[in-house]
Amino acid sequence: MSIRFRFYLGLAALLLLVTAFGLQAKRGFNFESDILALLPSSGSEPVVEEAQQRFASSNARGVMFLVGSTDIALARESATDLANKLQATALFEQINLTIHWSPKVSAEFWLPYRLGLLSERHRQLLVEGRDDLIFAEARRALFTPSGLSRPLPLSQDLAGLMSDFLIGQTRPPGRLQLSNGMLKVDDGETHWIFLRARLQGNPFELSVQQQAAQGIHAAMDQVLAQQEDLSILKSGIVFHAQKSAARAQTEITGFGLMAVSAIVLLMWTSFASPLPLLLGLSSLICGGLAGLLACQWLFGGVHLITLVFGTSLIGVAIDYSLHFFSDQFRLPSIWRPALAVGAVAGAIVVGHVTTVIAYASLLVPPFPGLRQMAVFSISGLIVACLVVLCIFPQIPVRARQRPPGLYRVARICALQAPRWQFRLPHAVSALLVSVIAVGGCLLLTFEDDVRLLQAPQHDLLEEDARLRDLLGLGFESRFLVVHGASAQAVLEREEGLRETLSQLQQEGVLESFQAVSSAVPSIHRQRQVRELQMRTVWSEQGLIPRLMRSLGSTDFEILRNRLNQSPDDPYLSPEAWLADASSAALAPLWLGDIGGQFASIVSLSGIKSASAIKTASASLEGVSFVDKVTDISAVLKTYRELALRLMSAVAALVLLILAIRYGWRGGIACILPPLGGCVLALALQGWMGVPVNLFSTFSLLLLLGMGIDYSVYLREGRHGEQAASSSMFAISLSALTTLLAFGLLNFSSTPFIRSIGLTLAPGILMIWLLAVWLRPQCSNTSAQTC
Amino acid sequence: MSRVALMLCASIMAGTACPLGRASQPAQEATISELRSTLAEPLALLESASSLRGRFVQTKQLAGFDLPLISEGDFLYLRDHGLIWRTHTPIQSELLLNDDGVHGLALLDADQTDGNAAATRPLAQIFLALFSLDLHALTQHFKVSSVEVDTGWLLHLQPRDTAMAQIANDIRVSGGAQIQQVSFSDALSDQTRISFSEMTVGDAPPTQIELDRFAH
Repeated sequence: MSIRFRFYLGLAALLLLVTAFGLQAKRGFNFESDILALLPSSGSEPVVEEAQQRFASSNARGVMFLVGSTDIALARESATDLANKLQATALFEQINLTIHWSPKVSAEFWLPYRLGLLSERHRQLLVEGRDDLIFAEARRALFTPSGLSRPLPLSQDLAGLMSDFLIGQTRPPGRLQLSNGMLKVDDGETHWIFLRARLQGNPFELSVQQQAAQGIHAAMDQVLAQQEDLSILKSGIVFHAQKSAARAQTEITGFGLMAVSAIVLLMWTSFASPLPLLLGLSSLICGGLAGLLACQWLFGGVHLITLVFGTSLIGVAIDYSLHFFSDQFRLPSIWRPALAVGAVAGAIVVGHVTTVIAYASLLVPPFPGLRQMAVFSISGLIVACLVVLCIFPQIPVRARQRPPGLYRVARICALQAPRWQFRLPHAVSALLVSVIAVGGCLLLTFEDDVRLLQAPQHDLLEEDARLRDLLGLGFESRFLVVHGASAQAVLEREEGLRETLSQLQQEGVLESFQAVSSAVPSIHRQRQVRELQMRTVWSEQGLIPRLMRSLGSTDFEILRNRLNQSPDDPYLSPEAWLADASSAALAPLWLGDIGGQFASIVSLSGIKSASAIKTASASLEGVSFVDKVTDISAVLKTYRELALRLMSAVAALVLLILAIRYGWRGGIACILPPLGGCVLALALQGWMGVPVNLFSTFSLLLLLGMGIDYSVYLREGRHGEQAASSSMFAISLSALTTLLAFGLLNFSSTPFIRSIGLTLAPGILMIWLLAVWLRPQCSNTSAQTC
Repeated sequence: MSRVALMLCASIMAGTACPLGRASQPAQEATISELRSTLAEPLALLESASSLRGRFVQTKQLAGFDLPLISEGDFLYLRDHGLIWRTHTPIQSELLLNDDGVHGLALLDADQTDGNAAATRPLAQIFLALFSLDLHALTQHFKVSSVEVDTGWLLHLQPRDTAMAQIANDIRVSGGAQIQQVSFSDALSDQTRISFSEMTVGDAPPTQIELDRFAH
């Protein structure tokens, strides 16, 4: 293939790329900020995954507020004001301030079904024949003021069966209490009014979160500005999402700008000509476009965290241009870009392939986040490399006649820097390095925590914690998914599960749980309860007639008429329940029909032993315990260990390939710097006391892939002083830009991006040092062309 | 029971619940200062008091039942601690009412965990506000109107919020130098009337034995 033909082919490909990008840009790129999108799936059934996702995305839309003041009237007024202002933003699907239900109000909804409904405690007592307790409770309600707090008048519900059920249904969560139609919680002198809202759009969409955050803050500020004795607490995933996204955007532009300006500076000082600079930057731009496009096509969107990592592409992909143009100092007088093809194309391709293989290792763990980063980097690198190899040779760039200062430094380095020999000082140094490496590795600690994936927002977390404390609501990320072929099947399975959970509750394994079937029993259960009530409550010897007799009354028919129900009446259905306001609290747990299957969530709080719940629920059909944090930690651990094994396998393979080309001694000399660099990078974290995680171990693979280039380039360029010098110059520039690219990642707020930076930046430096130390002897025969 | 008998019964009840029929539709919502002047006497008595004790008779008439349900007992109210309500006949029961709600309802140990205490908080709030004549609390939860009558005063309380409406649609309190009677009536015209007698106001600090009874 001629250079010219390659040029036109490359140009056509680039045109295609730019057109495709333009078309995609017109349709819009889907920038994601949901941290969950980075996480692996837990490998459970699709319906469970789907249920989990729906529950999570529904939760993500919720926003909670507490409006507090020592003056309750002011708190109520301000809460109303805030609710109105939020309503006016049109960002919310729903805003709940005033509570329209109470046991008494919702009684109207439940009463037609009362024969099939019982509180779990009463059902148990009746089933076990211990109705004497209900009998005693009923008499106490009649003869003490306690009966006044029953939601139904005693003459309507003499045994208190329906009242007990209603109280269970409408109990406000946590420490909240119903006060004048609003939910409030008191904390010392301060009265807090509870306000809950639900966003219209997806809070992980950048436009939605921005508008929401601005709208909410503006509304809060306006309300706060009017009063002195007033404070507002807020909590919601949207605030975290917005802050993380804003931070990621700052990092992307910040790191990107810094990397680009460093490269501009470096290329200018090295080549002192605008053409190499422009060409180099255009290879980066093409690489970036390709990365974005590949992610959008393969993943349906680009995550902001991918782009934070993606800024390191600038420093890595520029290597091809640097290497290409560094060749000019080999023969400055006659150099033309076409000459470089023969001299360095081989080395560039070898380097490119090893780097791509290294990035490809990130595709191994089932982390969508890592995979996206790999795809972004690989496609970017391939395109940047193609631009360099196809386009550059045809551009008439003239060599700089006087080599830059950096080149002279590289030359001195190539010719005079200490080179490994079997001499005492070298052996002592080697021993010292080994001791440092081994010592550090012995000090290594490991960490497989999902928190690595998130940048904590301390101020928001504090506010969340304060709000949760006030509300008395625990935060529990673990829950159960129940699924089945129909709504009734789900309810029946839930009822089975609730029995297991009650058992666990008594054993102290968990504090409480919430399930839809406690409000809407399955038809099967409603039928059972109707039979139970007809037998034990409403029969001649049942609870009600006995109570009546104990009160000296015999007119049992009057209560029977008031019950006004027969066992043949329609049953309560989930649809009817969802349509009523009293379902508000539990409704989010009901997922209903999801792709032909039905599912619901059973939420848990105060879990003492997750494994006990997992074991107990494992034997129940259609029930899955979801513990994302533990699942992810397990995945992190598995793949962290895998990465180390993969590393040894890759190193062995690379050694084999190198040995074929350079012989065993040459091969070992080639692989020692990158391997040593990897070990030293790990040792550094050991000495620093920074725990090693999946992301640092996978960074080692990257390090190996990129670092191997240095020894290979130096070995390829060992023929003659000029070649050695320009190779040294090329790898030094490359190490410098890579160091910069990954060094910047150390300033990211996302912990795992920092882990990558912390492994790669020092690692690259060590590899460069080792590569220089272990470089091959430069032959005296000065080969003019290679 | 026939409809006529029911109505008759209800009218008798209404008569007994408010002995002063003309006060059954009080006109105006009273301000705190108006209430303060109406209740000047009991308020003055309570001001220096740390405890209040006495006997009660509770009469409950359920709609559709011919017989009233009567119970008797005694109570002890300690400011800062709450109210102990001890029923002697026809059942034995001791309830503690404080800011958290009504305690002592559990018949089984397991009941303690079922969290229904929160549902009884409004009831406890009403009782505590009545025994201390806490006008702020009363006016916060109820529209209060007052009438002065020959024997003293009569308050008519209408709940402002759903939590209080839970207890009763209509509460009437009457008394003179002290609170004498409270009656609650419900939507279905269940009536609960509590009359107090032998009330004594104490200004001595509570004894340890008394305090122990409040240790819940």
